[in-house]
Amino acid sequence: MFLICLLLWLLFNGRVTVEILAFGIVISAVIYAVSCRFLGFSFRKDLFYIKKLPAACMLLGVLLSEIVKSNLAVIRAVYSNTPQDSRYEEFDTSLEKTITRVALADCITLTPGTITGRLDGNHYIVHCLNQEMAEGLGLEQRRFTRQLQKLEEREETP
Amino acid sequence: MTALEWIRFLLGALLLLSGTFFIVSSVVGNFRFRYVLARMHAAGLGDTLGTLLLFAGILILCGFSVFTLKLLLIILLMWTTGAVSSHLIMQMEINSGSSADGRKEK
Repeated sequence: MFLICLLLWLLFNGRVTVEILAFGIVISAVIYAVSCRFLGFSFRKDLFYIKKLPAACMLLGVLLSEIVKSNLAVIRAVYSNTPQDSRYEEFDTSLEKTITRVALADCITLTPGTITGRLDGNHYIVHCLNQEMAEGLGLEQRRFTRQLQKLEEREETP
Repeated sequence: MTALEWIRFLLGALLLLSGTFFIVSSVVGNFRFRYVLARMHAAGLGDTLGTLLLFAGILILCGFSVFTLKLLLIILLMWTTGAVSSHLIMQMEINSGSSADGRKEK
């Protein structure tokens, strides 16, 4: 958290001088202290999030590959003359944590052709652009779920 | 220009053109699709892969710098806020009782 604040400070400044760095360290430390005091952050939690980075990177890789595939499918739909047969698809997920369920909903929405409309408990309602998207949704959500389950597995420790 | 610079230029230009193609396709899709939810799928073309390809093109042409990092931050913000706004519009459509293709009531 402290490092992210400091990196953002340096990024927005656009250059690194001793003065900017010193101000950045002080401001980031104050923000980190306030976050630890009032928002529930802690050094142990930071270490725990760092341990989850490889699994998060894997999820990002899967997300990027799905974004490319679904973009190409939507492009085909845009330029083809076949009639649109949009539909709602419903499914249940085996994910247990709320944060990973929301992440799954976001991943589905980020891939064009499928938009999550509702998430009640573990039940999703997804709008699919056409039959092809509806058929691909099952495979897509299984790939995301597999990666998100890896994130959940490591969530047991702190 | 050396051969390496030519390759860099061509690769960057190809990525920029591809990104532009996706953004133009998203505009075309917005006109071709009839219903708001279908149009949201088309809009997603430009927001996701369109911006990503433009970013990759700029990264190759201009090199890695603070400005490219700022661009990456913008894409990250677009991807996180875009998903939330899509959820909200979609939720409103479901609550209004429209069918998936918007032609008839549930």
